[in-house]
Amino acid sequence: MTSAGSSSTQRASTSTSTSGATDEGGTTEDAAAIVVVNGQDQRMAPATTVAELVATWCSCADGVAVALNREIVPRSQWTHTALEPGDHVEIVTAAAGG
Amino acid sequence: MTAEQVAKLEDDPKKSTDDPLVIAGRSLSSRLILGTGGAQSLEVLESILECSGAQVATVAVRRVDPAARGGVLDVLRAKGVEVLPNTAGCFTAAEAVLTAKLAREAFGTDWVKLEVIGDEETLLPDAVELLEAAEQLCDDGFQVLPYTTDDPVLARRLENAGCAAVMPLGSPIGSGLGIRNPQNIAVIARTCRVPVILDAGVGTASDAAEAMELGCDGVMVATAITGAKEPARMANAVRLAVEAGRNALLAGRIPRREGAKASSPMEGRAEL
Repeated sequence: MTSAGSSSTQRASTSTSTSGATDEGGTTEDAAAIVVVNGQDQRMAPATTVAELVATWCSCADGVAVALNREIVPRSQWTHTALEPGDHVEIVTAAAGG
Repeated sequence: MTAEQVAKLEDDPKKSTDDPLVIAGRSLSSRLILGTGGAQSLEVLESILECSGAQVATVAVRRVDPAARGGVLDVLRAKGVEVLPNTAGCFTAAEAVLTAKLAREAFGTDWVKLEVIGDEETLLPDAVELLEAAEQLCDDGFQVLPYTTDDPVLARRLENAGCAAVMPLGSPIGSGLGIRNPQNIAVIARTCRVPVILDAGVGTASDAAEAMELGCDGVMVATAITGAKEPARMANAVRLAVEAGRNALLAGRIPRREGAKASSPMEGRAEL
């Protein structure tokens, strides 16, 4: 849907790298650690995975889905997908509606 | 009804004696789809679900509230009600497609009530974005139930795109104005091969009955029930109205006529 598709696919295959969080583009470590989760700036440890984020954010991961930079992260990829500085994450579930 | 008559009716699935609504190959005995929006509490939602008899209920896809414990999904699952996620709040095809994919991932269903609205004031569907999203989602294997206008041509385009049903509006969402263009709704009901579910505008039970009498295969109701003074009682009323309207359609109403026509014979009157 957007150009983010290729980058997040690439992400999944390189997610075990521990260097990704702070070594890009000369950003400071503090700025680099910020990930936007449901519209809120969150400070993340380097290489935090989607699975770890969901575990801290939700009391129950059942009925939950995650979009990373406007691309779906399938549940099977949560443990393999590390977050990077500046990522936008949406964690959603069902609400009354419609 | 004789056994022969029953057998004849069963030849036509729309008129079979148990008369299920079949969407995307799934058979539903209730023709009422419940919208969960506006329910005051999960307890109220439970009672509405019970009284409505609905087997399918919509939910919206929204950000997780970290403080929340239990929710709509738990209630629907406990009641054995099928979850129909919607894309409410989406203004573009891209947003709606991503929301549908999130819903499929979250709830494990490929059904989606597709909503792509044009603006916040009218909440009317954006026909261009809606059709674009419907085509993308159908291609991706979704069972798409689009919320659409009461335009028979757009309904046909959505059907041709591969949608599992069409959901034309009676009047704007939450307005309770009933069916403002019954002729168009009747045309859509008559010309579409996929099920037609009236969506939006129902204000009270009689509106739901009217939709069914016009030939709709089902009705979706949210605010008329959740916003009633006694939601559970209204849920029951709407359930009965949907059944009554369906039966009236199958029974076949009398033609309208300009003048009166006595039902009592003039013959055999006493000379008084």
